[in-house]
Amino acid sequence: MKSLHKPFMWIAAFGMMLGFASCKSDPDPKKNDTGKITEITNDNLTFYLIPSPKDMFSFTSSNEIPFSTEVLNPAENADKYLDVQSQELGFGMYSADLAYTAAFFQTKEAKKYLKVVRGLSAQIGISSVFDEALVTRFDEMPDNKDSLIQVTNDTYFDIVKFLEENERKSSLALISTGGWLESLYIVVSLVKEYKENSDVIQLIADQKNIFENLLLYLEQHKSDPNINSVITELAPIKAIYDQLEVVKVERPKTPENSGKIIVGGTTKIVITAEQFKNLKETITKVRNKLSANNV
Amino acid sequence: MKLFKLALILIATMSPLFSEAQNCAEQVDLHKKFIKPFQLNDMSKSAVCVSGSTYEFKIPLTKGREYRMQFYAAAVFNNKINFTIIDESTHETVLNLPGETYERKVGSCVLASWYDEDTEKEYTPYFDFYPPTSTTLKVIMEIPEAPQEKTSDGGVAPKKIDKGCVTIILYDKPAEGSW
Repeated sequence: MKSLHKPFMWIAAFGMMLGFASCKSDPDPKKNDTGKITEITNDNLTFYLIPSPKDMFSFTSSNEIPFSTEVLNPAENADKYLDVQSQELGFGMYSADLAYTAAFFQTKEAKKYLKVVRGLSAQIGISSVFDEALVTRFDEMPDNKDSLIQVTNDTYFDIVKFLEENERKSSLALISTGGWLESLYIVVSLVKEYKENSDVIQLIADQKNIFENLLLYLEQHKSDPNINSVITELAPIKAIYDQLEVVKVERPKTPENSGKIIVGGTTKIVITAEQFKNLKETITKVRNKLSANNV
Repeated sequence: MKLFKLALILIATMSPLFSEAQNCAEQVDLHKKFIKPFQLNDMSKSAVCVSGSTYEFKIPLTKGREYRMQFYAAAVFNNKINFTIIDESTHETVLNLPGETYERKVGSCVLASWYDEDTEKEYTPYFDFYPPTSTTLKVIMEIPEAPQEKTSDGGVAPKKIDKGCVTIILYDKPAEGSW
């Protein structure tokens, strides 16, 4: 009879252990010993959302910019990333390179960059994202562009989910920074000539909004020295985006009763040829410094 | 037999801990749908929220895309969340709605879904946004204090704080006629 009860006691004990373990992983709001929330800080009341690299390339893959392997972060650079900061920034950069190769349906390059991303994922403790199912999807590399983009998107989404689940906010901030910087670097590098009414130039100017969000997001985690030093590295880019003028424009007419809420449309961010030149040079400088791990 | 019952009681007692400790990151997977031609946007976000607090989500929207937004909240909040969306470039309040109303009408609330007899389908509220120029939306979610409970002797119980996930699912697609 005694042995019959043992399994139930084990189940109960196991349940208690799991219960406590999952309580411990509860996110931010500060708690006292009884688990009650005692302090709500601004950090967990405001969320700054950052688009993934693929968003940049979904605009640019049409015909405004070409594909070039020259703008990719060389795979060999991954060996130089020995500290957490460079590994996480590098991971974000290579994720952007992967998204770029997928957007242009460059299967061979995509496979190469997936390998680099997988390698770095092991170093930063997120290799479990690359489970068997995902690896198989890549090994049987989809033979159409949409499927290839879908696999890379799913990978990025799974990485973000994993980092959020595991409360690795600083890691997510660094990866987002690396991803944003690399995707902007790719786009500015491929624009050979400034044209005032170019959609790509406008997209680059509009990154001012996203960059502001990114900086505020980093500011929330600046107690982490790795984040703080990256904020300093990004200062020259901020200086240029701060100069961009926001001008009033007439909101375009849209069909009534479309059911859509029209937002924006009354102002536009303007970048001049000179500012574009400065931004291109600065982005290149910052990106090259961070990708070469010369912080 | 007593020990068996004790084990069952212990497991049952643990289950609320599991549900409270659920990870919000999973919520995006749970609620995302395939709504062609929209695609899930990676900025979709779920966060742990508590009663008596106001949260802000800053979402940059880019010219050339159209966006669809859907909201979900943990049952513990009973849909009692007020939603305000401010367009940061124009400073206009473009949406100010409760989580639920008695009215079963499109555009009357943000969270409550209902069975639409006309389409014979369940209707879940959604909101479509079109930015002719890039902008940032500030989504403000106000969660009221949890109802105060009384102790068995009629006294006031310690302040109750409800906690659960609130989720924004964001989809996007190329804007009509865009590049």
